[in-house]
Amino acid sequence: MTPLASVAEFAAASTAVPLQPVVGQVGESLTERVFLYALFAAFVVSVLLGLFVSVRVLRGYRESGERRLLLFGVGVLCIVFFSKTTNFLLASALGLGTGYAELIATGWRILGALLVVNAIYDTGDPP
Amino acid sequence: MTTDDPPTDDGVQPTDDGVQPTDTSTADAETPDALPSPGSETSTTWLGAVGGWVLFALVLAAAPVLTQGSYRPGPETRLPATIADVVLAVVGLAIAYHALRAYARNDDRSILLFGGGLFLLTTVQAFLDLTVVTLQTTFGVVSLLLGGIGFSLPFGLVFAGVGELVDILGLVAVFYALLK
Repeated sequence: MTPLASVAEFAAASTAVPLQPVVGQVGESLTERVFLYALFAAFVVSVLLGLFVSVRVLRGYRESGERRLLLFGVGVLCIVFFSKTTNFLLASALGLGTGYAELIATGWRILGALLVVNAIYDTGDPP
Repeated sequence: MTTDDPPTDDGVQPTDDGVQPTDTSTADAETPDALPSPGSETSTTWLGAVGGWVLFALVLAAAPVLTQGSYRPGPETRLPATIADVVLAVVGLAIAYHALRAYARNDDRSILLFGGGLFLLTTVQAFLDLTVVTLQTTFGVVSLLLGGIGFSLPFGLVFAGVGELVDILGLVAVFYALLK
């Protein structure tokens, strides 16, 4: 029995009725469900945060025209936003195997990291 | 100094004999990259040692997967995924190395935060993926091991949660670096 389920059962025994149906319905998977909701919330937070950072950097690029900022902004976009949404869409929505989805997500991260490396080496001069 | 040398940060081209046409006392203050700061050699050696150990740990983490021919589950994607993780970790290490060197030169904490954030988003994520793959390959159903200590969440779910937390931490670090 999971710790959370035993806590719920103890609470149900203490309060007699209200929690009993919950324990009966969810049982062992209560921890998993709670964890999944927390995981999804963390996913949404990180995607939004990544988007926010990218938009902020790209706005800086629009104001200053510095190519480094463009590379860095798109890099962060690839590392966080594209990798996570691709992983989620392919694995959850389209039902592609988790292995393939994670492989594509890692590909996005590599692309983003290479763009950031390019931003570090970029001198701003035209090629 | 050769003719291929790039211009300095203040945009002044060096003359043919390599002498800067500007006042050297102000040039040192304006271009911190021009001269190594005290202790930068030690910092570089230290960074090289840390980078070497991280690479060694990376090879150790990836070796069980790279040296085996078949894996479970999803044998067709396990090997390319591992190679991709190793590539990601190495590129992330390169970013972190550059950021740490820049921090050692300029003593700017925002660069450290920037490099640390990207290190979390790339290398640490790759390490987490490699750890999952390696443990699953070596021990099979690892959730049984965790179940033995009273933690019955599926193994992959736990690492997915840790991965999300690492991502959020990395993004917060990068965001904070941008604000500073």
